[in-house]
Amino acid sequence: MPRRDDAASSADGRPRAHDVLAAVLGLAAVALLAGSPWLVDRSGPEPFYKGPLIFPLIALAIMAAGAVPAAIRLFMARAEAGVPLDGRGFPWTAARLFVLMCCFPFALAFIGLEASTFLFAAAGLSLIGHGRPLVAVGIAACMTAVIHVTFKLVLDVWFPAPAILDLIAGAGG
Amino acid sequence: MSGLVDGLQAAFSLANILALSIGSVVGIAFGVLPGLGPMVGMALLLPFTFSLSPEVALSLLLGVFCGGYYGGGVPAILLRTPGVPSSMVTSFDGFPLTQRGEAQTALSSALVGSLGGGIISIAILILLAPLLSRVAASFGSPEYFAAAVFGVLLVVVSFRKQLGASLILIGFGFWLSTVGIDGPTLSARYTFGIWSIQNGLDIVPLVLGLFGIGQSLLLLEQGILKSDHLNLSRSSLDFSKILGTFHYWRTLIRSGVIGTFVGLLPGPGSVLASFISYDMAKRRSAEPEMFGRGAPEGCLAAEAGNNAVPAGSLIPLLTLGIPGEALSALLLSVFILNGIYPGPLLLVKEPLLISTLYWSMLLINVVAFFVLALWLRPFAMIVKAPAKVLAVSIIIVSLVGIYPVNLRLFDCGVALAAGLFGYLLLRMKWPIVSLVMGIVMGPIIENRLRETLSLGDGSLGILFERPITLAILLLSLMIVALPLWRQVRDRRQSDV
Repeated sequence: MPRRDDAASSADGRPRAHDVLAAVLGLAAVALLAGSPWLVDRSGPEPFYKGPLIFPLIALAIMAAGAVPAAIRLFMARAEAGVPLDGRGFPWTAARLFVLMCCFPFALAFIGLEASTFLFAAAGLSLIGHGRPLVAVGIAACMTAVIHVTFKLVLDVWFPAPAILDLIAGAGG
Repeated sequence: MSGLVDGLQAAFSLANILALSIGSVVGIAFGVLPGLGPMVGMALLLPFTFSLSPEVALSLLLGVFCGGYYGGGVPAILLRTPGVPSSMVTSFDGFPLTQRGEAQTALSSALVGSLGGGIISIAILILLAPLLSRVAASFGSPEYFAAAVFGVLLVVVSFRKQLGASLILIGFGFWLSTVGIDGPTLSARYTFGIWSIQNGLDIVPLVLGLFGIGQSLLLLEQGILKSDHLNLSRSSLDFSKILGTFHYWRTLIRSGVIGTFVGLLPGPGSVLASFISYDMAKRRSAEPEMFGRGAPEGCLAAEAGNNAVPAGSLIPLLTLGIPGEALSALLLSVFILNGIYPGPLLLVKEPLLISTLYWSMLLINVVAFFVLALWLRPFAMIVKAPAKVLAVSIIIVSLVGIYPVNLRLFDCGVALAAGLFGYLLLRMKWPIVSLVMGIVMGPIIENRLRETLSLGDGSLGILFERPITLAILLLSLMIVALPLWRQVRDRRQSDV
């Protein structure tokens, strides 16, 4: 009985996930190629060869051409085969951290650099299971201090005042 | 001559020395860490360069670029785990030497190789750049267009086992570079009605996302090391071992020259430079049978070859504006962000910047050598850093670095999206270099294409009327056709 990975491999031995990704990108390129006349403003007087559309069309055509072999392999492959990425399973830890970090920029704007860095570092380390919570808090505090010193004191980078301060001031005034 | 003296003064300014030292230390640290590498270090430091003058910003990133290659050899020798891909060749002889209790000999050879390779390549850069620049001065838009296409083709062909993936990513990079308002025509392209995209997709969040966030997510899963043993008897390099390495001076010079010329070509990069240098050293050695069993000459050749690549890749970058690999593509973005456009006139227009750059590279090599030689054990211990803490730190620094650039949450969103895509590409081992090359080279090729078409009244026939473009096109045809021809020949031979 073939292993799941074998069953999900294309003729050249590469996992089918490669072909799926290539085909998806190729399809997106074809869709953009078809939609380009409407997605690019062509109201200017320039001839086509000086215009804004020629290079994007070449770029998308290169993408689509690169995806053709993968699409053919995928089309010829057996329908029942799965598409595992590399046999190492779904990256739950990375996914959890990624979702958390998606909220970080909003926190950065809302509660400011130091508070958001501390909160997200502590939460991130706890979420991915690095040591005891106290250790995570300690590391987060060090990380916050390093970021504060590097960005604000050494590099003198300006960060806007946290939005929460405006809210408090608004509520107070 | 006075330019060189002025450059020396500028290179020794406090800000520049500080920047190149920080860059070297960061580069060594990221080079030592297997799975991260100098690209992540450069991407992370990119936002910090906005407040710096161009020469200081370039010194900072060049420090990371060169320092990364210095650091990469350490885990390759001590743990048989290359910090950067090209150090894999160093491990062939480095690790057997470590197993024999001669880690200091291996490290001395590698460090002397790195220093020698770096200095030789800088000398070639100083000699060759003005010559190439003089040739490039006769270039018009069609020649630049042909040269840029040749560069991109070399990158694509260098991933010939992943040709489809490389083509898709180059095309995708080109397309990403077109998103936003088109400069010459002021037409909106692929903005989908979103106001924030009007200015286009900034290279900083894209690169930080692809490398900083993407690599960190991968690091989280894979960790850093499988081995936990560090065989290092002293905390610093045993300088008495260095003298013995000068016995291989011929190998050092040859490998430095090979590395520089391989670095000159867009695409192949440091791995090929290491392999060719190592192979050549083995062929010319009096004891070729010792190679692979612990020959210090092998470590020296491999490191001299890969450390000559940064200066080599600067030659086409400075004279033609064509980056040789992803790392020099990032350097190109620093030039452009500072309003400096590399090309044949750069050496004439910005002599101070160029001579400062030469001196800075020299200083970076010296600083990286001594920093690593004196603090060998602390740097080697970096490999024991917990991967989870590193991953969280890199993602936070990436996002904090991006936000203040334009004060736009949109940029953070771009970085996170690029991070997710970068993670997928890295996990599937797709040639992410092609994507970066596409993003950086896209605007250059588009402008040159338009100018060429304008000169030819809409026809590309002009490319076949000019001798230089014709020669470049023939060369391009050759690099595409040659591997195909070899493939067909090999297939026929195997059939017979």
